[in-house]
Amino acid sequence: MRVNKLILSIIIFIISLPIFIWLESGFAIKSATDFVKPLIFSASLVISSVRFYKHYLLIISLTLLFLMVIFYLFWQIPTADWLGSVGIGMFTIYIIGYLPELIRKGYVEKL
Amino acid sequence: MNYNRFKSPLIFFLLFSATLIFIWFKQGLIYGGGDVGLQTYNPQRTLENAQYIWWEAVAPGNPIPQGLTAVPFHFIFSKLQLIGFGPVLLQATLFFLILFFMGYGMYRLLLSIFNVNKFYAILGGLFYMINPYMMVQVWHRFVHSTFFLAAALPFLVIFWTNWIKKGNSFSLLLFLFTNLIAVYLYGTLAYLLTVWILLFLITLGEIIIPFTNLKHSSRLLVKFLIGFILWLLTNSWWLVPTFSVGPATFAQQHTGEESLVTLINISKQTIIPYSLQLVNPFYLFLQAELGQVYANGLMRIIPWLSVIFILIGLISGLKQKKIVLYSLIFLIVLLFAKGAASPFTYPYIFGFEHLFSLGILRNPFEKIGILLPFVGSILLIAGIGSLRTFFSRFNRVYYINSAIILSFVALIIFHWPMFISQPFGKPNNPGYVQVPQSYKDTDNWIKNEVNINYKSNIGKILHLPLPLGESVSYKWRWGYNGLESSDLLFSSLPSISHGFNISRLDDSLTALSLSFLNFGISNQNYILRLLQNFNVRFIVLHKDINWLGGDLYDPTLIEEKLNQLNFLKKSASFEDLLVYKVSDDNFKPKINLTVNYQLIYPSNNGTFWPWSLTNDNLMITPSLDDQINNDTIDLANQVIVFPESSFNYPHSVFINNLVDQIASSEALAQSLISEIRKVKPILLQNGEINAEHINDKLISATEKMIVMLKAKRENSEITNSQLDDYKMDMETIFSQDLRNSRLLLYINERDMSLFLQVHFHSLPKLKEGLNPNIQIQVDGISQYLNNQLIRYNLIPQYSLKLDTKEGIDSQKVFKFKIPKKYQYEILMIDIKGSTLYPTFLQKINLSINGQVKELTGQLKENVMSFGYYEFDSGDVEIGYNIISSSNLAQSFDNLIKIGNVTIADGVIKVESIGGIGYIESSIPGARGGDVYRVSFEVMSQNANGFNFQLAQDIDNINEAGKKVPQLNEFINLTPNNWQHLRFTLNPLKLTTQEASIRLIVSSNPQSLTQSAISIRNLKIEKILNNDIVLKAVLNEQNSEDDGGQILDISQKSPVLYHGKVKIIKPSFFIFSETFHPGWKLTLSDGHKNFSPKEHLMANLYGNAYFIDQIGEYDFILEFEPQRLVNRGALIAFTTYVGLIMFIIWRRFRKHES
Repeated sequence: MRVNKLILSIIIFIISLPIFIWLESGFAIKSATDFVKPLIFSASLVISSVRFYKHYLLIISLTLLFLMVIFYLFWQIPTADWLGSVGIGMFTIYIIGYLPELIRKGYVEKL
Repeated sequence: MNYNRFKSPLIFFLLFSATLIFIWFKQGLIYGGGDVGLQTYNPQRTLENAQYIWWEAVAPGNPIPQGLTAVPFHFIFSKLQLIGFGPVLLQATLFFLILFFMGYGMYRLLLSIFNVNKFYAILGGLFYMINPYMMVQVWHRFVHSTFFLAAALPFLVIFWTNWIKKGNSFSLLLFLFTNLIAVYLYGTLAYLLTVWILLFLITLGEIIIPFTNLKHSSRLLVKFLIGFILWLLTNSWWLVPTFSVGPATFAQQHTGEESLVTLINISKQTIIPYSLQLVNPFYLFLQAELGQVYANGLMRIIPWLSVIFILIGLISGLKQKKIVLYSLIFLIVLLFAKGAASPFTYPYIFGFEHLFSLGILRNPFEKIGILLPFVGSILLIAGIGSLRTFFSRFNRVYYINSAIILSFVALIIFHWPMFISQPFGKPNNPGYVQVPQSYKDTDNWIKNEVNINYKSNIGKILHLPLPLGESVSYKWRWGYNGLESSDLLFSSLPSISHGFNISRLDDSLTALSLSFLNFGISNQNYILRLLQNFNVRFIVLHKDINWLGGDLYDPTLIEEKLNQLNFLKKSASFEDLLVYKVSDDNFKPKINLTVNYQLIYPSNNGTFWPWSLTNDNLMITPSLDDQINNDTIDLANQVIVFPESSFNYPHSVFINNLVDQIASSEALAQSLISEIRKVKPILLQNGEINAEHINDKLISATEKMIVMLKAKRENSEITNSQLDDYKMDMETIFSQDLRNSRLLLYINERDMSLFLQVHFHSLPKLKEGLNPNIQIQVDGISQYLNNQLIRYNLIPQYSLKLDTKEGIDSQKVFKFKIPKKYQYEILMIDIKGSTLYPTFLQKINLSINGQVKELTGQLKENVMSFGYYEFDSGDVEIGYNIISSSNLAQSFDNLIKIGNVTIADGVIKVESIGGIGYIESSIPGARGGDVYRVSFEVMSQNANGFNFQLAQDIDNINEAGKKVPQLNEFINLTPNNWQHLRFTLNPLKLTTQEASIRLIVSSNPQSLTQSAISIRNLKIEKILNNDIVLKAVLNEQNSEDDGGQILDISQKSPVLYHGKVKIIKPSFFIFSETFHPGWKLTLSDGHKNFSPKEHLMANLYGNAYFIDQIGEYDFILEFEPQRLVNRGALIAFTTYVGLIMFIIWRRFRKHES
């Protein structure tokens, strides 16, 4: 069972990575740093598919948004932008993870 | 109904809105300018204009179908105007209503969504009214359609939600009525998407969250479709005309690539740190238009307080059935509104690259971002509610109450402009507008003249100086910067007062404007001809215009000229406005007949206008789609053909030499790549994705070519795969229209031609000694490259075998499309300054389709004639060497010298004193459109570099009162080393009358050693850049130019003319409004109706119909797309009536049962 879940996670990661690369840059990769966000988002998607770890996704994304505010207030805008975009991206993936429950029940019973 | 539930919030929002209005309007002045101009200044006049698709008042006329959306609002306000509301009261009333409906609407929406305490619903309404987005992006931005959207949104959602959830037809009717009253919001077409994205998401949410069953989902889907279809029907009166007539205009005003670049650059400002706090950093931080205080740390924290509540509401809302939908919508809207900023950057770019119409969303934060505070207000209250519930568990509600109160106090502090002064202008420039009384006086005077003397054949007003863009700046009491609004300020006659961003029309308006600058008193008939062609009756000279820094000229200069023109008389003067009248004998009516005509085939770039080449006759230009009838060509007096395209390119001898050097020198090869590469950071910075991609491929291809040349040099093998890779790069470069690529804004066409010609001339060098298969491959690439270079006008089709002397490294090529075989005179135009060139340009070698002809010129006024030549119909290519004039640089004694400037052995030394030193050489005879090359040698002593400036008389003046040159480049220097520099300047601005070159060295005034530079061999040369034109005289002018008579004209409306015409000879019926295929002429002799077969462009902007049937006819000249409005209004009315009857019927049935 655990092996099945691991295989499923790997499959989700492998399939989602090119999708996130396209969403981020349209496959126009200019440097290694262009891979970082898609990798994070793919990993987030894998995490969001595992109920047990889902809430960590929320905590991490909110932490990133909090750090975004701190860097923004100190005029470190590029860093704030990076943190904010990763934070919102992870948050979006977190919400997407609840879509089946939302369609079924109309609300999330437990976050 | 619990009345008490509604009474006090209603009064609260009324009072709150009234208080804000009192604060904003306490000076008793209106606000105006920006993109919208003076919207509420004269609703009656706007209503007169807006009810027709064709805006005659904005002469020479243009279809503005989306202006129809202004009709309901201006209809209501015109009634207020009738009962005595002045501009201030009208604007204050509008703003009051907008504020009130925003706040009260959100209050009602919150009550309808979830059970919430009245107090919190009021807070939500307040937040919707007062948040960073509303203050900056709505009020400060001052786009009136956004005001209407902000006010209407809550009601649209209330009524739509009731319709979708409960099937309440009355709510549907209220939804449609709200759309009708607030239809002005659709004046910004993108708001169609904004509204329907929101309504669609709400409906989708009802369907799938949760998904109950197919039957329920189908029912909701059907309701959505019914609502959407009824919305389409009730809005068809403006929708259909806008989407029938609009797209052709939009496509001329914007290209897909421009929209993409705008999107990318704007997205740099809509990154998540800014979008999430609803802030537009451009206005708030970069421009600091609301004050520098917003850079303060405390001010930067405040918006995040509301973001905390919104995020809490978003997360807690996931657990609440009533709010979960809004949590999801907020996230979706955030991802939409941030545009091409990360995360998920690419879908927007992909959409823009493949769908032109998406260009209306090129500023997504402005167009969709308004949904953020809208949904944010709902989540804010949800968040407050969740926090209260959480803290109430610990009996600590007072903590959260205190936090709420503090947050709202902080919010009010953040939005201080709304409470202390006003959010529209800047702290030191409030955006007040006070239109001088002289405008009303001038308009009344003209109206009086027209009523007394010109009941028919009224004509137009030409406003000078004529802005070629849509905006203008006036030196009024409070200043004015914004949309040129003469169509509102002058209701007496239509006004030619600004450009339209449509190239053919703007080109003709530029000619009209510059005729006063370019033509003297001796050739004033050209000016008269232009005024006649544009049906001008009056000229209003604006001496209150800010003319520096743009495309305008000094009005006092023009005043002198206007006073001397024989056909004009200064008839009135009101402060800074002078009125000139065209004498009745010289006035040409809007509709007239003419027999004589000439055919003009204009250029696309419009650097010269035909008026000085043509005679007095009507100018006919075949329309873009139709081929003109051969007989029509033959009956013309003359045919004048301008080049379809022209370009400069480096001489092939020069290129071959360069290639030889590159082939043997690694350093030179790398230097070539650096030249191509240096543009890349600028492309990246400016968001030029497509241009950057092409540039990358050019770099890659050049690197591959250099590798292959090196291999050749070292006798190594060149493989098929190398050539395949190389060809792929080349194919990518040419896969899009390179000539219209934005890359040519950064690499000039000559340099682009040089880079690509290096490739083209390198290929034969590679070929030598290779095996036959590789040679065939190289030949194929060579042929491909040759075809592409010719196709995109980077090299001529025929090799120019002109002699190249020293100093000539470029040639100019003109491509003509000859309509018919005739004997054409070859003319070089705009020949001022011909004496500066060798042989005074009277002997020139021209290459005509690859054959060199040595021609002798004959000067005729401003034109050099090089004799006659027979050309067959089809393509013709003519070229000449780009030669330079004699040195125009001033002698040392005549230079302007600042600092310590000395000369010894021909070397000028410039030393700074008090921080600055420079020399300035005026350019004698400099005029608009001239191209100059400046070259000199320079050596630094203690200076890191120097500034190279081009100063023109039209340069703007900064706040310190100093002129700011438009060209001011800092050039780095290595000390004690002579450097040879050469600059070919861009053509001078068309309104330039004086220009000079400055070389400036500056240093720190406190420094002990002063910087100095030495200059020698300073040359300023005018580059021959004149156009070649072909003219064929076909027939003698018919002495009787009148082909008949206009017996009667009656203008029923701006879109309809009736009249009677008598045709005695085949003639052109000329209608002096902007050419549009929608203008249809129908003639009737009482028995049959017919329309002229040919509808062509007249006088390079207007309409001409060829009537070859003799007789007397009634005519109707109608702008047919207006019928779409009438039909649409009927459909909308029928739909409303049908829906009302349906509702009554249902109520009746319900009552019965």
